[in-house]
Amino acid sequence: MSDTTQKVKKYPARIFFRATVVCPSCFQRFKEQAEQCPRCGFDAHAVVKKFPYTPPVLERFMDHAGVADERLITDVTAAANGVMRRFPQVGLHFCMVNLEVDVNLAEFGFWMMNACTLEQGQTEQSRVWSILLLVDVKTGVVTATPGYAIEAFVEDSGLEKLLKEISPQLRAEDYREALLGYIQGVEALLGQAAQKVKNTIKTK
Amino acid sequence: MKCFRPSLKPCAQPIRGICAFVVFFFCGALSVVAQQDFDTAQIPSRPYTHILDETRWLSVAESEKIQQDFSRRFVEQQIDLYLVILKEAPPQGAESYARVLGKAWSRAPMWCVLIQIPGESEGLYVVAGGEAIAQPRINKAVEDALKRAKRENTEKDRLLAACAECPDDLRFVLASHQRHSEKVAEAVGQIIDKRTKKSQRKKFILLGAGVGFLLFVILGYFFLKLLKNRKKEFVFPETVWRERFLGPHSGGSGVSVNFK
Repeated sequence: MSDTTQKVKKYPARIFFRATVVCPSCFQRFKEQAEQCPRCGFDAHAVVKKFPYTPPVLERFMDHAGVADERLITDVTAAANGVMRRFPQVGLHFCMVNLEVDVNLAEFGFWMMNACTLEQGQTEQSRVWSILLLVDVKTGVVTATPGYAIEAFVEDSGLEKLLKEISPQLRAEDYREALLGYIQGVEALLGQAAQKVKNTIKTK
Repeated sequence: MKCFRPSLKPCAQPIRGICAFVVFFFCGALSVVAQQDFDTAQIPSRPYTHILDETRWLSVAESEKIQQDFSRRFVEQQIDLYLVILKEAPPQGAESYARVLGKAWSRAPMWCVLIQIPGESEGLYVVAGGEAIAQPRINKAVEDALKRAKRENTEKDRLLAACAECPDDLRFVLASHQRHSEKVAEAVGQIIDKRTKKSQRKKFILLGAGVGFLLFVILGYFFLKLLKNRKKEFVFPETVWRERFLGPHSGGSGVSVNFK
């Protein structure tokens, strides 16, 4: 019996990174975990009502804006696979959209990460290790939405800095360079996190 | 009976010695000056015909024949030959005079002066010399040639024979000397070449080894760096997390950037 169920040691996320909770709807920051945003009442039910669509499969690369060519998809997929080889738990997803002006992209990201059906071979466990990059080419907004597991290792400030760095390429509609730069940046962030984890576990 | 000669005063003896020395010094100096005067002023200019005949002892035909032979030898064999016919022996001696003339007139690596004093029993003198050639070898060659020439009956025949024999022997001496010099130069050149090649090979090997070692170090450095920087697979530890906003996989994020 003990052969089949191997007990995995779990660490409290706060020993690696103490994140503040941010509401994707009103961007209110608060310390405690909550089922609803204490300010705007945002939760999963509210977002489902807001986006009453059939959720798509969360694929590696989704181009609903029609801006990606074959080369872009191939290169980005290859680069993302490279990162995932080094960090096998992590999944990188990319979605190019063309949303209406009044749509909050962070809310849309929350909806996609939670509502989208699993891709073949994907598990519930793998979804929490994923980061979804959403690019709204119409409104010019880019967001990064991490799963619960990965957010313990990748700080919001790091992701935000990275998105600001790729903004010039996105503005120039050079999506290939932007996404490749983003992947490179994520890999660097994960590398730093890995080092931090090694040091933390060593001292513990 | 004992002869008694009064001795000079003791102080007079050193004075006599000094006087003798002064007289001797002046005589020596005068002789040197006289010699120099002879060397520079009394040497006749080089005869372009190779023959200086004060006595007109030789017939025109004989002169021309000797002249042609000497000219040819000068051009072909690099031996500068001169025939000097004197009425009487010069005061410093015929051989000394011949040597002075030879040194003054010579334009070739080897020279030879034949002096003939007609009417004298030993009236034929031959002196030769050359640049960087051992004088005893030259003297021996001249001696041998003269021996052969002196077998002739008449004075003129002996001279003509000497005019032919001496250059022949001297040519052999000069040729063997030149050949020897060439061989030495060639051998030296070969040794230098060998040393240069050896040194070049050594340098090339050292350079090759140096470059190879450097390349090895550089490649090794990059290989080690690559090995060190090799991206190893890393698995993050499992963490305990709580759902928020009722999201099963993600609580969303506030990371949103406007790029337009």
